[in-house]
Amino acid sequence: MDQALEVVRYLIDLGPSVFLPLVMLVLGLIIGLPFARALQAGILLGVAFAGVGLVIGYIFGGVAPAGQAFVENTGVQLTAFDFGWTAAAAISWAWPYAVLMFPLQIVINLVMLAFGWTRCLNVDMWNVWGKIFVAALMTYLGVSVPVAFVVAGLWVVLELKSADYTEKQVQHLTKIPGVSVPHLILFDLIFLSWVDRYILDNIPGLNKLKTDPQRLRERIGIFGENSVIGAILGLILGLIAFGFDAAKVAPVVVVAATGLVLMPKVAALFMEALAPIADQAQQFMRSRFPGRTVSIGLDWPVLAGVPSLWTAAILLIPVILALSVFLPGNIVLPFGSILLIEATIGTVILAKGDLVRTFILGALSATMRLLTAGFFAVAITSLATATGVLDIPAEVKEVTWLGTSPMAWFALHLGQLMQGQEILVGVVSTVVLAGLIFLWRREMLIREASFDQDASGSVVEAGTTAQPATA
Amino acid sequence: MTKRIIVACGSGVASSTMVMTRLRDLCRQRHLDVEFEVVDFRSLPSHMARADIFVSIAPHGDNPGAAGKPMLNGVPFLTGVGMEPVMDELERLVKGG
Repeated sequence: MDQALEVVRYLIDLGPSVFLPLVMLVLGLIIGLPFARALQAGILLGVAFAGVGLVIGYIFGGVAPAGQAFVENTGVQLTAFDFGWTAAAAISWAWPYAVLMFPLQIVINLVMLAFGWTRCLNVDMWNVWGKIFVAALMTYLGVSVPVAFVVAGLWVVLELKSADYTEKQVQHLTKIPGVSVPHLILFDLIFLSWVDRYILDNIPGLNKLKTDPQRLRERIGIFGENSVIGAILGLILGLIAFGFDAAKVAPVVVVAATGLVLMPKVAALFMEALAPIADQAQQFMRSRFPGRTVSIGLDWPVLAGVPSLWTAAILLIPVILALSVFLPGNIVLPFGSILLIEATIGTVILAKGDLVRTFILGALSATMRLLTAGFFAVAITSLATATGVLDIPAEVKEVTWLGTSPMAWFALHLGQLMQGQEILVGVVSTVVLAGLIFLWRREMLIREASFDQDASGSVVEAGTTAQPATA
Repeated sequence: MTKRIIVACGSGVASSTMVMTRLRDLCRQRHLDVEFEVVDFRSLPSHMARADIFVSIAPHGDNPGAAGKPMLNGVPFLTGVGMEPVMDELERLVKGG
């Protein structure tokens, strides 16, 4: 037994790009993949971890000195470097207990479906990482692993309810029948649905502001592409850090653009490696509910055809840069998540696709996320270091993910409350959350019911045949 | 001639890769001569010029730059339901020219 533990410890010490491929290989064989397929998935997973480490290391090398000079020049203490959601996902997958989140999500979902407590069959096995991320962060702030999993379980429940409460709104926006979006990003609606109802609805003239997000999106053109966003971000950062010293600014521009282009490319390897597992899990879940009318829970990009989502995210870039400097208490230097779609995916549903409202609600979401990312910077840095995914150089004091949802803060305090710690904050924050959930649920049920009355024609049948695109 | 299929999603990471891996397996089974590229939605216009077929997971939404290219519904490859009719259509497009 001791020897077995010794072997496991030895393997873990070799780092995630060695250890996790072995886990993947074993897991693949357990769920019945052919050996070659399981081996390939394992190797790809190792490549993905090594790739993310490589690209982030490259970004640190080129951008971190500029970030340091930025702090020295301006005196603005932006010490937490935003490394983007792809890195956040990588360190989440590398958390030692990560794989347990799959059965937890699947079992909760199947039980809730069996009792009729949800309509959503969540087949999106990729975003399990979001729950892993929340649970892992809690454990670096004093919450025990079992309690972290209990809270993560509650988040799975809430996520499914959130999918139910937005189902028809999503189907109306996407015109895809039978789908819903169980995703932690949609928790933004818990915080903001009362703002939309009681504040924005009462601003005279707001509803009369008509914009054409599609035309605006077309005019934005190449400024919406990662390479261009990265180059501009690098240029701004480089100019503030080094002044008009082209020899120093130009490399920052190149590294920033390269970083934003390459991060999604290496992160896609994670999905390729996980695809066989996701496949098996999906088949397992679907086979439990043949023929039942449920909504199929998918990842958020089914909403990607809503133009306001992109236009608002791009228009929010200067707002986020300004907030990072002027928002009191902010320590986050936006980089990897500068195109903060986390702030517009949920809010575009709340705004019913309206650009101005998505922008206003998105700015509020971005503000909350900046503060949350700052709050969790130390924990995220601990997770990144402990899992061995990233080598963080001395110039970088902390790393964080700008997309971190304010719900993570409520999760932490709920977890601490369950352990009898920080009782006052725990009780107050949990009561506040309960109140927000009450308002959100009421508003969502009203909105969902409005689609029942004119259900005919509001949802278009999804064609499976080829059709010329009309965009 | 190899047909170039573009799959797009939010960031060119998760959904599009999921769709792509399933398409790739099914295309192998049908011996179709295709290659894939996964991209993010914002960069569609610059990739679409080199695409023969576009697979969209937002088939009724705003698909920038997709005008004039044959577009297939990618949602079945996310849900796992109804992939065969889309594959038939894809096979017709690949073999048809």
